[in-house]
Amino acid sequence: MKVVCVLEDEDNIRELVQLVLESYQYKVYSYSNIKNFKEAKEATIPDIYLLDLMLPDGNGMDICQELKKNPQTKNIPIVIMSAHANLNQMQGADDYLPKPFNIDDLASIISKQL
Amino acid sequence: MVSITVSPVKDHKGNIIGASKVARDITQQVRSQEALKRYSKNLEILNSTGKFIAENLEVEKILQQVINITTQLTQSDLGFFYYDAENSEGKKTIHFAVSGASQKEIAQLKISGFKDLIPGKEKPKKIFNINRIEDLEEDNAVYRSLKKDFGLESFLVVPVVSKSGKAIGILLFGNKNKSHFDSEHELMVANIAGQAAISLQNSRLFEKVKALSQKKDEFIALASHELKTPLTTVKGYLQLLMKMNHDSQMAPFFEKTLHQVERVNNLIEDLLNISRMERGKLEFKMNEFDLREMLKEICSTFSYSSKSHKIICDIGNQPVKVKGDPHRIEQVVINLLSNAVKYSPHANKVGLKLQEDENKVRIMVEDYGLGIEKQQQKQLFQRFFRADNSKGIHGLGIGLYLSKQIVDRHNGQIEVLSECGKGSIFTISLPKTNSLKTNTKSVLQKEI
Repeated sequence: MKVVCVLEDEDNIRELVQLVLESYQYKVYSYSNIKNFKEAKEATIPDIYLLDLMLPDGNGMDICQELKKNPQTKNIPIVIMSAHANLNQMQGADDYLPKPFNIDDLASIISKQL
Repeated sequence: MVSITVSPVKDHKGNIIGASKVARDITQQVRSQEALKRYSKNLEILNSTGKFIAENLEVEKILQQVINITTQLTQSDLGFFYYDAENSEGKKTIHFAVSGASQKEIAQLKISGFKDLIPGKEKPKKIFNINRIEDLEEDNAVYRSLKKDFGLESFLVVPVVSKSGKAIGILLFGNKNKSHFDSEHELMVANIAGQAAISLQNSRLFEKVKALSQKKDEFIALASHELKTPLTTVKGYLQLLMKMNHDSQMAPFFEKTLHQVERVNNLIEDLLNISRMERGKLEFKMNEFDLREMLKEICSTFSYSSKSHKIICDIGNQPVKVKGDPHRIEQVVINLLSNAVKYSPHANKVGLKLQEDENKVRIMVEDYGLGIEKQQQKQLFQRFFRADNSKGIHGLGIGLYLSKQIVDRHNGQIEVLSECGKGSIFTISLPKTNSLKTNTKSVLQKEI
């Protein structure tokens, strides 16, 4: 079972993403802030990261760059999801999912990267 | 100065027997001519300066131009423009420009001291003409250091007074000779200082407008983000419900709801795009693509979703390659087709055509609806404009504005041919890939 690590502060969206991805047989670990995400990320190395951009304690793009610099995680694909549909914010990420998204697009963007 | 006229003296037979000399003092006449020449030259400089500063909104450029010209006009060895500006947040910022000094000398100037030379509330327009530094009643560190560092002996200080009567800066001139400045200099500089004050105030207003506009754009970006967050949840759960629903009676209700969610999202996206366009931040991803293939897909999606109108597609069979942002071009075509349907409530068809010649491709969207009055056709592509006969039909007046901006960025044109009561044809012309080679650079440069 492939593992998806989700970082999204909005409870409703986080639960929706979890529900959809689990229905596609993914194992999902989800976090609502960077602090929790960082504490847990050492223990679990996922197959793919799905990161929101605007978070209460930072920016998803910074996390993306950190992950891409870390030898342990640099080869793991990262998908950024955001309502800010600016391409220049994607630097370093492998793909981009604009909000609001179709749930089928969410599933296909993940499977495309794996 | 003397003018000498020599005339021959002749006898009664006409033979020259001598000469008469008349000498006249023409000093005054020559001086007047020189003054006139100088006056006319100064007037020319004043005119061109006035034009330059009235048209300019950048503080630094206004200051530099004014001080360069006034230093020249007053034959000064040093000119200094000091401006105490207040920004939109009420913070004071100092601007200054110097003429007749090197960068090294400017760096050594004690700028803060110049503030004390600005006249107070009592006599904001008072001009100081200092013939000799020794004449000053009070010892002044600024004049003293200017004398020491630049060898200046006489000074002219003209205040720059705002519309409200407050002195907001000074123009200071220095000359190495004593008693250099006269009333003509005072008058000229006071004149230019008056024009500079107006321009500086205009530039302040311009800065305020720019700051407000930036705040508006930031607000739109933030509001769009805030609106899209709940919309993501609504759309997502709605799609989940649709997947779980097995009641065929409910399916159309879900479809309708989802369609409306998409409409809200498109409106938010349009507002965001306008704000990005205004800031030059709308991004374009230029690629070569098959326009015909794109139109074919649009036709099939549109035919499926439009219940009221049939789409008559005449797009040929051969691929038509263009270079551009396929996503943005698609946005323009969908916008034109949606308008064609929206503004032809009593018709049952719309047309989509694709034509090409050697250099251009044309996409034409035709409707048989309300049409647009001739006088209003030019305004159609302006932001927030809506034609008079569109009342009662929903819309914000954004779509055609955005479409034109997008087409412009592709070095293309968008035009309308319309007759009231009969319908409209909107034509987008885009350069073909092979003819675009020379234009591509400019499009890409704009992206950066």
